[in-house]
This record gives sequence, structure tokens and C-alpha cells, in this order.
Amino acid sequence: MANTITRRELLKSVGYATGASVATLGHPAVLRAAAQPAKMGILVSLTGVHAIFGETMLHCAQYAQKEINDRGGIEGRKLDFVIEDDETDPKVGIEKARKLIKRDQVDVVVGSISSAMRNAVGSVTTKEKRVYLYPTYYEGGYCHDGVFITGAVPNQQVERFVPWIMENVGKTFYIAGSDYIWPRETSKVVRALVEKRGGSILGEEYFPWNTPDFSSLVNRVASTKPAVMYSLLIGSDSVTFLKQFHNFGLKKTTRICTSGVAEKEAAGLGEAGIGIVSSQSYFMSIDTPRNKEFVEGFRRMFPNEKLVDSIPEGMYNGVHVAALALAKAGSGDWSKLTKAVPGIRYKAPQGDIWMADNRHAALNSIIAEAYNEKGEFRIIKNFGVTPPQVNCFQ
Amino acid sequence: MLELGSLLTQFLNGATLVSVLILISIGLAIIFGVMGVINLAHGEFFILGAYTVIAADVLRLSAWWGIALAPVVVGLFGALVEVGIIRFLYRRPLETLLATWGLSIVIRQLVRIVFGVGYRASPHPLLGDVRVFGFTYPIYRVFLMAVCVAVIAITFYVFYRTDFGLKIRAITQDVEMASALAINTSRMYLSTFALGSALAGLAGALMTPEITVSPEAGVNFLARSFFVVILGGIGQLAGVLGGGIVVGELETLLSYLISATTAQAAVLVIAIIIIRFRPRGLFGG
Amino acid sequence: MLQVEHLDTAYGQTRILKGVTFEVGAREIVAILGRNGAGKTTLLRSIMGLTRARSGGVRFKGRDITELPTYEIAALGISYVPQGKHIFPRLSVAENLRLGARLQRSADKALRPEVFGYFPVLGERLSQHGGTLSGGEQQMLALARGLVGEPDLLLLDEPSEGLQPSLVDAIRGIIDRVCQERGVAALLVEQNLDFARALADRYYVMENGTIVLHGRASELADEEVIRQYLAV
Repeated sequence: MANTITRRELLKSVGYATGASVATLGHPAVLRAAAQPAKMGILVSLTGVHAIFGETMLHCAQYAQKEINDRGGIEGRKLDFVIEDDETDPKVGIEKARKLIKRDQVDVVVGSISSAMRNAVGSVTTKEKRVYLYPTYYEGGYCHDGVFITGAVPNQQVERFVPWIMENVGKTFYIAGSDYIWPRETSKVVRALVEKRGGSILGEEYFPWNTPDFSSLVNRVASTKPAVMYSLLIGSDSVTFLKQFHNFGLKKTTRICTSGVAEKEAAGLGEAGIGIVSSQSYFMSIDTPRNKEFVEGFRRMFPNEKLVDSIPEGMYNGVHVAALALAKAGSGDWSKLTKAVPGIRYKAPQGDIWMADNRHAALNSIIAEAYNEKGEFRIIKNFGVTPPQVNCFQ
Repeated sequence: MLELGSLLTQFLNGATLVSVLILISIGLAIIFGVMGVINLAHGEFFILGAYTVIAADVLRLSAWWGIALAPVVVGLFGALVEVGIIRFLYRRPLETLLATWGLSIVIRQLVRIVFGVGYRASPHPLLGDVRVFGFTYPIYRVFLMAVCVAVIAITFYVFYRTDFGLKIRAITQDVEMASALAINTSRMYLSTFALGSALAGLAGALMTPEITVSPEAGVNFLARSFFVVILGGIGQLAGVLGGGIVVGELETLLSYLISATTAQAAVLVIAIIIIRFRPRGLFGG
Repeated sequence: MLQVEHLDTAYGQTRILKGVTFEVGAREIVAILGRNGAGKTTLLRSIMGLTRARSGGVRFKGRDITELPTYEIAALGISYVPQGKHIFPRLSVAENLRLGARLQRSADKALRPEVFGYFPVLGERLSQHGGTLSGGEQQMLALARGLVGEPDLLLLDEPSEGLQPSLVDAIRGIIDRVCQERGVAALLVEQNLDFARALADRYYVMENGTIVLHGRASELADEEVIRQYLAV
């Protein structure tokens, strides 16, 4: 059932993309040269806790900008960036979003990480009638006019992953997550899938940010002996927990499966990360010419960047999708641009993606295993595109 | 039997957190007690200790070298900070607060520039288990506790049994009288600040295998050690022990019984109640 | 031993000492008399370097100590026993005394038992915290701490203040004996005329930050003049 929909949508989108490229070629060159540059507001966390992702996100956006301008810009218009630091603080995010729209008059806003920041920025962009693309995986359910999402939602990370786990790892799960909405919503999906297939959840708990010691969780996992430790802890909490899990020697008996660990976290784990299985829409080690071209080109431009993972790739895709939509709409005009985004199809480093009618991207579901101390993953299975399921509640 | 095992494990888990918290808090308490300086960069000194281990690893030295060098490196850095900044702000609490806060930002940025913004993997010096009363427990955690207890004991010995400690305690109580008794107070301030920094650095280095090494990680421990110091009572080294035991064991044991979020909130509430009835802390006069 | 020349000290805009000049000779006990607020305590603090002189100078054993840090001044052999005792309340009696012994110029800086000959009560309370002693005992401790450093000069700020008469006599006796037996010079700030007269060789009277009168202690018999400056 799901497969038929996928195939039909895919064909429809191919049609779209072909149409768009024909239209591009049709424009007279004289008109393009005279046009004003297109302006994109780039919102990233360059200071504060999320700076660890923000820097690479910015670089990925800049690499996308370079690609677009090298190919002649958007319909002949040069693509300009206005870059702002949200300081990992939603209050600042609101101010910066206002500034981007009112003072800089950007055509579209792309960026930021975390649901709190997205809600803050989205409240401004929707009110000011400016299109906003959010690149980070999240809990789903955010449905507001003009806010489009190029990061994964739970069904895309979990729907294919959990059955795979139950077939290949085991049927008893223990779930732990950071205490906020993404882990709680994702865990609902995990639980439903596990219980439907006759598995069981032996424990489920949530931890406040910046917990320094996870030994009580480790202790409980040790005594319940699940086959699978499903971690929805994020950022530094994820790293702290997994290090302690490793130090207690639990990796021997319980496998870590997660949708919260990508290359950045794995690099912080070193030896402790080896063997972790993660489900993301992008891994750096995807073996396609398109991804190779992306990784090599990106590293040429930013030689110090060692790792790209799914969040910065979502940012890169967000800039490209926004550019394609701007080309299709002809301007940042609200009503034209909100109609232009759904249906956009893009050949991303992760594989083909497209924007569904529910304002979310159809993304790839990929399972990979961390296999060395540098935080590199080996692809176990690539399920291809999964359309987003979004039950609007936010 | 299983239940007993995990209770014992949980007690040891608490003891690890307690001993590390005390090691960090002692530096904070000494610096505040002697100099009246609230060092908001103490968490960053902790992180510098962790990055000393990373740096040693980059230089192909073992993690043991990193742990041994950390107190020296961070202690020297602390001395530089004292001579370069703190010295000009004696007895100006608001200015020192601002200055050390600014310093914490500078250190984080420097760490970002030198080591990068990302999480750094750290070498684990000692993987493996020991058997404690028939149950296994990671050997490194046992080592961690042993070192913390030893260093805390040495610190107490220095404070209560040596000439240096006597001078420090005199300064804490009456700085003018101390200088009238031929104590070079500014040199004592320098050693105190360096010592407090070195203890934070050592704690950071010891904790590298157990924490996320990133420029932002200091705050996790700074907030808790402030808690320990205030709860224990300012100006009393013994207070740090009491505060550390209350905060660390309570958090660990409670988070075994109830959810971690509720446990952390409960510790906060209990601490506020204690401070309400004993405003000068558990051990304050 | 100690020469103070044209010493000027101010707290902010308020001048406290206005050109104070006097001296203390070897083995001499000199009393500074004056009302509250005359500047007596500031004078002692200025000698110790705890309050910085604005102009003028202090010489000790021929050396200019005006700009020296307090701890170096102390190490040259000046022992300061401030008003209000200022013992360390949370250090034991023994520890208080050990800190005093730091002033000794001999290498061992040991606490010699002779001191308990002057202060037998302290010998019984060695492990007790300073703060738990009675007021009189605390004054004994402050004095003892000043003496164990074997100073050449004692600065005493109102040692008789707030003590009951029997203790005042005891304290006076001890200061007298120590100065006689050990050849220590002393600068004594006092409001208690009888106390000062019994101890001092010479006296100076301060008012409003200047020396207004001085002479031999034996001449202090002319009470009318003195009382005029000391009356509240």
C-alpha cells in the first residue's frame, strides 16, 4: 500500500522537475541580468549549545549557495545570504527572524535547530507572511502556513527501522530519551510498532538536559537485560549516556539502536560508539556519485570540516529546495511561494527527495552502523524514500 | 539477590558522583572562602582539564599522562588568570563576577578555536570490571573514587595540618590581621587560586571517560557544585563534604526510585528547604 | 627605633592625620592619648601599612617603611595588637600563637614555652577555638600572639578597653614585665589615663589628627591640662 503511493508520487514529481527545468531554459537572458539578487535569510546557532551543529549547517548552506550561483543563480538572479546567529535562544531567534524579514527583506528564511527555535521563528514568519524552511529532524505535527520542513519526522526514522531491529537484533526494548517532545513523540511510534509485532518495552524514561550521570539508567538496563537499548537522548546527553553505557560493559549484551546519533555524536564517542545502529535520512558514507560529489565539493570549500551529518544535509537541501521554489514562483511573494514549494523535487546527497503536500519532505530511510573510532558509519540498509506522516497538533 | 546487587551498584554510582562533585566544589569553596571571589569560570577550568587529556592524546601521550598533567596545566593557567585579572579586582565582588563570567566565554571560544566546536572522543585509560562483594563494577569508577577520596583527604590535611593551610584559614577569617602577622596575602591568593583551579582541572581530566567532551560541558558541573557549596555552608571545608553527599547521593538514589526529571527537581526542593531553615548551610555556624 | 614624620593620611576626601610627627626610642614605651576620633587608630594602621599615607614618612630602625607592604613591615619586627582583639575566632589558641610566632627573625619560628609564663591561662586552653574564650582571655591571646613573634616594637591599640579592672591590672603588669625583661619598645594608644601613666615613659596627646601636647609620663600628674583633651 505504502509502496504504491510512493511510486505514484515519485512519477508525479519527476514530471514537475522536468517541467521546471524546461521553464528555466525558456527565460530570456536579458531579463535575468537586470534582476535584483534573490535574498535568503540564513538562521543558525553559531554560539551557545547548538553551535556544535550551527557551524556545519552554515557551511552547508554556503556550499549550496556557491553551487547555485556557479550555475547562474536563481533564474539568472544571484543568490545573496543574510546570515544571523540565533545564539541557541528562541527569544533571540524571534528578534533575528523579525530583523531578517523587516530590515533585510529576505525572500525566504532557512535554518535553525530544535523545536523550540522552530516554533519561535515560525510564529514570526507565518505572521509576516514569509516562507520558512526548517532543516532538522523533529517530532512531526507542526502545520503552519508557509513553514516547510526538510528534516525527518518519526515515521521516516522509525517505520522501517523497528521491524528491521526486531528481525535482526531482538524483540525486547528499553527506551530512554531527553525530556522533551521529540523523544516522547518518537517513542510513541516505536512502542506502537514494537507491540504490534509482539515485542515488548521493558522500560521507558526521560532525562533532563545536561544530566551528568546516567549510571542509574545503566543500572536498570543491566538488571532488565533488554536486547535493544533504543536511545532518544540527544546531543551531549546522548554522548554522555553512551559513554557510560560502554564503560559499564553493557554493549556486550544489549545493542544500542537510536535515531538520535549521527556522525557528530559518534565522533565524540570514539571507541564507545562502535556498533551503534542508527536510523537517519542521510549518512556521509552513502555510496553514490551524487553523495561523493557533495562530500568532496564541500570539503574542498571547507577543508576543516570533517563530518557532515543529517542535520547539515537537511540545511543544504533546504537552501536548494528554497532556491527551486523561488525559481518556480518568480519571487518571495507569499501566496505564490507557499504554492510553489509542495511538489518540488530535488536530487539530494541522500537520494531523491520531494516536498509533499503536507509541507514536509519525503526523505530516505537509511540504517547504518558506526564502525570506527572516527564516528564513521557503514550503511546496513537503505530503504529509499519514505513519505512523511504528519498528524498536525502543533 | 539481583535487587541487592543493583542497590549496591546504585550506591556506588552515587558515591562516584559525590566524590567528583566534592573535588570540583572544594576548589570553588576555597577560592570563595579565601578571596571572596565567586569564580564563574570554574566549570571551564574543569573542561580545560578534560581537554588536557585530549591534547595529550593528540600528542600521542597516554590518558594517564593527560590526567597527571591536567592539574599542573590548569593550575598554571589559574595562576595566570589570578595575576592577569583577579588581582585587580580584590574585594570588588560584582566586578569579579563579571570578569570571571567573561573569562568563561573567552575560554570556551579558545577551546573552540584550538580543538574545534564538535564533541571530542577521549581515550579510555582503564576499561574493565572489578568484583565488589560478588557484583561487578567498572574498575575505572573505583579508581576515580579512590583518587577523589585521596585528593580530598590531602586537601583536608593541607588545610588543617600544615603551615600553608593555617595561613589560608587565617586569611579567610581576618585578612588584615593575617597580613599584620607577616603573611604575604597576595602570594597566598595566587597559590589559592592556582590550587582551586588545579583541583577543577584534575576533576575534569579524571571525568573525561565519563562525560561529553565539548566546550560547553562545564556548566553541567558548575551549577551542581555551586549548589554543593551553598548547601554545605560557605567558608567551611567540611560543609563541602556534607553538601556533596546530600546533592550527589540524593540525586542518584532518587533517580533510581522516581523519574530523573522529578528526582532532580526534588533535590532542588529539598536543598531549598534546608537552606530555608539553615540559611548558613548545613555546617555554617 | 621608630620615627614618624609629617604623616598625612586620608580616607577619601577626609583627612584623618594632618602632619603627625613623633618618635619612639629603643626600649621605650610611648603612649598616644586622645579622644575617640582623634586619629589614634589610623596612626597605628598607617605605621603598619594597612592604611596608606598620603604624604610624610615612617622609618623603622633607620629604614623607610612608608611604602612597604604590611607583611614586610611586620617581618621587620613590628607586632600589631589591634583594638577589638582581632584574634582568629575559628583557629585554636595554639594556631593563633603559631601565626604570631611567624614574626620571629630566628629560623625555627617555634612557639617557645616562656610565653605561657606570662599567660598561664592560655597554656590550659591550647586546643580551644579562639572565639570560645572569654573577653579577657581573648585580650590575653591577642597580646600573647603579639609577643611570641619576639618583636622589637609592639603597637598596642587600647589593650585595656572593655576589660574589668582586675584584668586591666593584669594586662598592664604583663606589658610592663615583657617590655622590661625583653627590651621591647612599645607604642601604646590609650584613652585610659591611669593605664598609660603607669606604663609609659613619654606621652603624646592627639586631637583632630595632630599632636597637640607631649612630654614625660611623670609629668602627666598635671591632670587638668590632660583631662581637657581627653574629656568627652
